[in-house]
Amino acid sequence: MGKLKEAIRYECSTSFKYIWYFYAIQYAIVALIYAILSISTGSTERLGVSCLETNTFIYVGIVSILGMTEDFKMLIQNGFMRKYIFISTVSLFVFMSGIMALFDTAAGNILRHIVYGYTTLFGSIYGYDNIFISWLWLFLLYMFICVLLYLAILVIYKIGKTLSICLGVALGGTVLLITAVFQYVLSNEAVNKIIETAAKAMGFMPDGTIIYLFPVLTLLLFVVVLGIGSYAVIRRIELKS
Amino acid sequence: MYINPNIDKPIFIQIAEQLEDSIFTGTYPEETKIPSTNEISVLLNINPHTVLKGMNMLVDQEIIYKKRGLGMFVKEGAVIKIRQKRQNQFYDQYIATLLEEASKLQMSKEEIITLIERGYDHELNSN
Amino acid sequence: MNSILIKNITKRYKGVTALDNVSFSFEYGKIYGFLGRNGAGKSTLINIMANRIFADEGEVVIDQVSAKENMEVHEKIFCMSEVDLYDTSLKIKDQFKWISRFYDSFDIEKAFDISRKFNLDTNKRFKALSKGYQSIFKLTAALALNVPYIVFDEPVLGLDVNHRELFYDLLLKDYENNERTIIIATHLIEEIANIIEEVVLIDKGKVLLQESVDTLLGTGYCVSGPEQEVVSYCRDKNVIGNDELGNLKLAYILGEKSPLPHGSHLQITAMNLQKLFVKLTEKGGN
Repeated sequence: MGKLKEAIRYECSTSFKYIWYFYAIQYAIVALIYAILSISTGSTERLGVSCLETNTFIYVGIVSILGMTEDFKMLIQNGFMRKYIFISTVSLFVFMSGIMALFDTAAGNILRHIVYGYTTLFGSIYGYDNIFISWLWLFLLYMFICVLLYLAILVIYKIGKTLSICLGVALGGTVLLITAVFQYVLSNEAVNKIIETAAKAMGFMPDGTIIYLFPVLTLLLFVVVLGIGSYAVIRRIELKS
Repeated sequence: MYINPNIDKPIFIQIAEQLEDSIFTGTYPEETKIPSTNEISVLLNINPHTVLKGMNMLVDQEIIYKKRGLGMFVKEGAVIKIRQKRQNQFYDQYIATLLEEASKLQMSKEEIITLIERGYDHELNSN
Repeated sequence: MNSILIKNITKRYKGVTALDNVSFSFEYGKIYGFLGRNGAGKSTLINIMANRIFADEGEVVIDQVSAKENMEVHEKIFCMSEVDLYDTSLKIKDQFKWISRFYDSFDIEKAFDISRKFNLDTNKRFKALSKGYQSIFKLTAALALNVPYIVFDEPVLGLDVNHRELFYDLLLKDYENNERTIIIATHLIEEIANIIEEVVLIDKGKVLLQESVDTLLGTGYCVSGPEQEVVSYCRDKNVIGNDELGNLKLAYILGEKSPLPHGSHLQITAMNLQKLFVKLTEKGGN
């Protein structure tokens, strides 16, 4: 068990400083835009950017892809079995998503008060009533992106480039097919029913109330399913030379 | 010490022979320590088990012995023992091959004896 | 008895059989030369031993414990691999720090000590090192790890003569003080011929032979002379290869020497490990 702790520690501590590099660069750019805007328009009211969380999507996405290619190699060289590598990578996702969701939630809510018209991602959908849920939701959203991309990269690594492209095409086809089914096959009633269920899953009740627990549970479900999928794939992953 | 990997003689025998030669010529006098397996192994890049095998040959011949915790030492009387052994081997190693080569060259017994005598004369003159 | 047991390992890649029902063992306390030509299956087997890839059939058992996805072998085996798997952006001193956290048996003082001997700058990042020094770092990490089974896959690749000598010195010193199993996979046979105690020769996914170097060199020899005489001498022997030099014929033989017939013009000479290797792996064509 001590070894697992060290693997988790390796994953988290080698990524920690890059989180702050990322934020430093992001806010430097925001400040630059702000400065240019205020010089050129003379007004400091509007920032013109909102939902900075979307940048974090890209960051956590990159980290989760590197998590496969780089960290897998380092940990397998040091004799770790795949189960431990999986647990430590997921721990990194939890650690990173947790911290970044916290920072983004805090920064977003501060920016909202300083900069006119700024909205956070959660706020633009659900409003600003519950900061804790706002963090939890964002955390799970980041986790979702991490495990989704992790699973994708694992599958690509496992089945190879050609098969992955075929799989991608097949997935695209399925999406088209589903859209077609919605348009031509299903009755209006059925479509409405599905949309209603999807809205419920996101927490919007037919009576106009919002239940925060539902989107949280939905995301959690996705994360768990994708996580189990990733574990099933990593168990069979072989190092490529 | 030098190991020749290209001759038809196992490495451990080469090591035993070279150690024996060093003892015989007085490089390692009696009752002194000879280099350890480790030292020889690292110097010549040879597996320590091979070196040990060579040393054990000398132990079996009672030329060296092991002092517990101190290493291998040259046994008292080792030089005499080596001389005796080499004298015994003299026929096989030198006379037999000499005669074999002489027969290839179709040289007679008398010719060889003359040559040996000439060798002795030459040696005496040069001294 | 403690050992790495290779049990009926088969591994296929897209129809190509890289390892074909391979079974043998590496015993504890010996230095092995794990030899084979490129593509013979050496790295594949090492990767299976290190749990980096999986065998299609069979298993590797280290000291009675299965090596597949098992943390119980974590402190037992370490593979220094030819490919670079380390985090390339980490400084060498940080690599050591992490390895010492990952392995109880890693001697970090020793790692820095060996680095000094090689003049390895531990403040540099892995990717900033030359190819040769990247190899040196990997060797250093492996030498400072006190696990009972250590595997070196092409350890001296890119090292100059002095560094190679230093590596063999360190390896032997270490082995003397702390006996363990050292497995060296390499093409540079002459360099390790005197260091290794036993040879495992693998060719086209099969084990061609496993033998102690002493026995192997004792049984392998070359007989040369006029063709007729060589042919008649070889009649009942295991000839593994031939060479010709005009009228002179050379035959490489594995087995007991029989005395030369009277008045023979034949000559018997020793065959070194490299020659033996070349002749044995040539025999199967290719």
